[in-house]
Amino acid sequence: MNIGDFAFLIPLLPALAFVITLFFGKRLYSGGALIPIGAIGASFIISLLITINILQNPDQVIHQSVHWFAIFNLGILIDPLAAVMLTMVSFVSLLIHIYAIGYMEHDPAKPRYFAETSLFTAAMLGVVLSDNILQMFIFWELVGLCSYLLIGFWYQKPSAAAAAKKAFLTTRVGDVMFLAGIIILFASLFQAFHGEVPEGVYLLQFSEMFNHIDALAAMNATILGMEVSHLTIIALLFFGGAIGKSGQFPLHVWLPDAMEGPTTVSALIHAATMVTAGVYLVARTFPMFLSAPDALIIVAYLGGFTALFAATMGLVMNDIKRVLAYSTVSQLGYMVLGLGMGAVVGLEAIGVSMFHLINHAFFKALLFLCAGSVIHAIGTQDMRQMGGLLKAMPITAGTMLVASLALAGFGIPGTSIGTSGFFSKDAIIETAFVFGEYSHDWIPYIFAILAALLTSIYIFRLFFMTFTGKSRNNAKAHEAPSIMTVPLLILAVFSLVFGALTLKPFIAFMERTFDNNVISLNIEHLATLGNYDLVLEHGPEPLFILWLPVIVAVAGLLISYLLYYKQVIDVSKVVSRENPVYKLLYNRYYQHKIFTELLATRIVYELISLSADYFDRKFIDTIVDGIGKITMSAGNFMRKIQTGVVQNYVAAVVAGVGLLIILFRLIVEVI
Amino acid sequence: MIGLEHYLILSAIIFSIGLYGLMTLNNGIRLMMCIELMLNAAIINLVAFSAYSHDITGQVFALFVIALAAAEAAIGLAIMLAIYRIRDDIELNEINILRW
Amino acid sequence: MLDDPGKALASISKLLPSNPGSLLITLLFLAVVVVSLIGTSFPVMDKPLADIADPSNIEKIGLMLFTEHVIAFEVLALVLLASLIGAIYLARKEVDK
Repeated sequence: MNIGDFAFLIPLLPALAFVITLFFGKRLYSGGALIPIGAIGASFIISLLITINILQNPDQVIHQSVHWFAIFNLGILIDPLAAVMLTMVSFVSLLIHIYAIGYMEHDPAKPRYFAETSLFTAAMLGVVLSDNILQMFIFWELVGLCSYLLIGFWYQKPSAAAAAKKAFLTTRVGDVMFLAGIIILFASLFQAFHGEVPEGVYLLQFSEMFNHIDALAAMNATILGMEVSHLTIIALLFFGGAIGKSGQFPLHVWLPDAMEGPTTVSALIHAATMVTAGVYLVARTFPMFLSAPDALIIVAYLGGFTALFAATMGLVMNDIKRVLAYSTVSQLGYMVLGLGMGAVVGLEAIGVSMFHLINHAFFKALLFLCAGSVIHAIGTQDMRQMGGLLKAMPITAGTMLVASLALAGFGIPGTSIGTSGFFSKDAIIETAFVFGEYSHDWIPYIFAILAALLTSIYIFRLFFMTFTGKSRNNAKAHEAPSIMTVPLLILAVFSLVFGALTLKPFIAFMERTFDNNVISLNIEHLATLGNYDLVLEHGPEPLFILWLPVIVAVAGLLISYLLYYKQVIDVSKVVSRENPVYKLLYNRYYQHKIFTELLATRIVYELISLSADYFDRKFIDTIVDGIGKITMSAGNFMRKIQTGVVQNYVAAVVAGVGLLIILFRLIVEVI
Repeated sequence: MIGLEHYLILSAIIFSIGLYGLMTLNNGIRLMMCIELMLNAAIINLVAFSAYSHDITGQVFALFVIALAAAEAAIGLAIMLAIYRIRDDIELNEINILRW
Repeated sequence: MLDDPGKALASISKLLPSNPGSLLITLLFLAVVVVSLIGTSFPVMDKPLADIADPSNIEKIGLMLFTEHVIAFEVLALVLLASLIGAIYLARKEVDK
């Protein structure tokens, strides 16, 4: 019995748990939390076994598919990329579910929460193991729906409802681009087959897509006077979907507002799983990006810019969860930047980016759960009202320190000592250096280093403001119950050791994604299609470059230490409404004003919608009402014939008979 | 020579006189008389055809029509009586409950 | 007469029917029937039976009535009976309790 035969259970079990919890949750113990935990635990075990299996023979991937309708199929593809994602998603989801039993203790709507997170897990697992892009899109949308439901979990709060709506609509913009990409891909593939698809060939399967990359690259379209290949358009549209889901600029606006949901939701969805779906999509369709000229450069620039941009805003936030939200956007920018480095290093980019994705999942989930523990104890989310919690909540403080060190990337280069964040972020920064070296384009590298500095500053600012100093509030803080601290400790262990254990083999493992019994591609050939010069072997970097990220991280720690712990400089003088730079950052570059008030309200609503409404009311309604009025007045006129006097009826009958006779005679004569 | 058409045209004229009266008159009794006129025009038609076809069936039919006309007149007058009892006049143009 | 055209018009207008539509319809009907009649050729003899005072007419009518059309005769009797009863019922005096 092959473990791969159970692969279909991985998304199915949480979905069943969703149904059961939704209907019977109220009557079960602790709001029906145990069924999703059992289901996700089973999914985790199956994923782990499958991953171990694939680790041992990486060229035997699991591929099952059934015919659905027309030329589409439903299928499962578990290759190295999918296997590690599955394991990570189910593992983190399991830990957060256990944590949530404690966190959501006093919430009356617990069954709904567990049902929705269970559905979300099922959908995310579905995204990961889809074998064709249409099925991935279906699960992608389902993930977006669950995100909407969970952000607006406390829907009685108007801010939560508004945030949920904003999240859904913003990711929708990305989803439309994704769908457009799928449609253009389908049309192009159909054209490549010259309109006749053989039996048993499913157009949108990944294996089919990759087989036809050459054909797709040859097709060209002219947009605005420029010759663009279809492949570039498709790749960029897919990246548009990733922008929406993974919160890159300019569609990142929903992530900070998404903190309106419960903290466990933020940990699960907006740190570890849903936002990584975009990165996963780009990694999954990486051969297409590799063959499309300039697509990877755009990816790299956008990722680097987002990383820096979000880090600047994270510096000045006062809400603990908002800082973490901007941190997530920034780290996602790092992951996208890592993917963009494929322009120079080829498939190693996937390895580097996914490695950071998995490590980030661990320490960001840990950060959110610690924040949740603090919020649970204190009752407020504003950091200005926290302080001095180190003694009261030692476990939380300790794990948060570990997570902060991981996020900032502390470690000793050249050895295996360091937090996992060090290894993964360092890998990306080094890759950016190689990129700069060989293409003489240093912008991604500069963005990465600056963002690393700011990351260190803001995360330690958060730590010092929350846990050290004099207590600025009156609430009695107590340590969280053990059901909440055990997941924290497990995640802390992973944040510490996972990086050191697995960097080199991980990257090699990832490179087998496109070299196995289902998909087997010639990477050099694809890269020449995309006009990229791949550097497959690069020498060690200069020592200074190796140590620079650590120097930057320590510098950030020192700066925060001086400002917020020792309070060498009086920060309140800088942090004030008068300072224009602070105002710019605090108002988040006025994005809310620009997007919502100017674009949505003024331009779209008032200009377009209201004028369309005016046109509709005055012009079209006149026509429609006019038809009704004409009918009624014709009817009014015709009913006067019924006078009720029989003699009139007699007259009508006789007139009719006479006319009939005349007509009959005429017709007979004519014929 | 008097041919069949003369009788038929006579019948048509009497019929249309009766028809005009039917369409125009207000009084109930006058309406009954116009109906009788129309029936009689039809009888003339029947008898004319019987004479010129040398077939006696037309005249037998005419007898039946006369009897029917009588029966109908009886009923009609009874109805006029009932109407008179209710409305105190027999202006048939006033009975228009089924109008719009 | 001509020095009072209003009176002349009034006296003439008394001759016109009050309902010109009905007159028109009647004339139309008459015209249609007459035109149809004149054009049609009926399959009849040229002359009616010459002898008017022949009593065998009545004999023939009676014979026909009681042999060929006896059913219609009986039914007609029933119809007359029904109309008799109906007329009596409709025209009786109001019965007050």
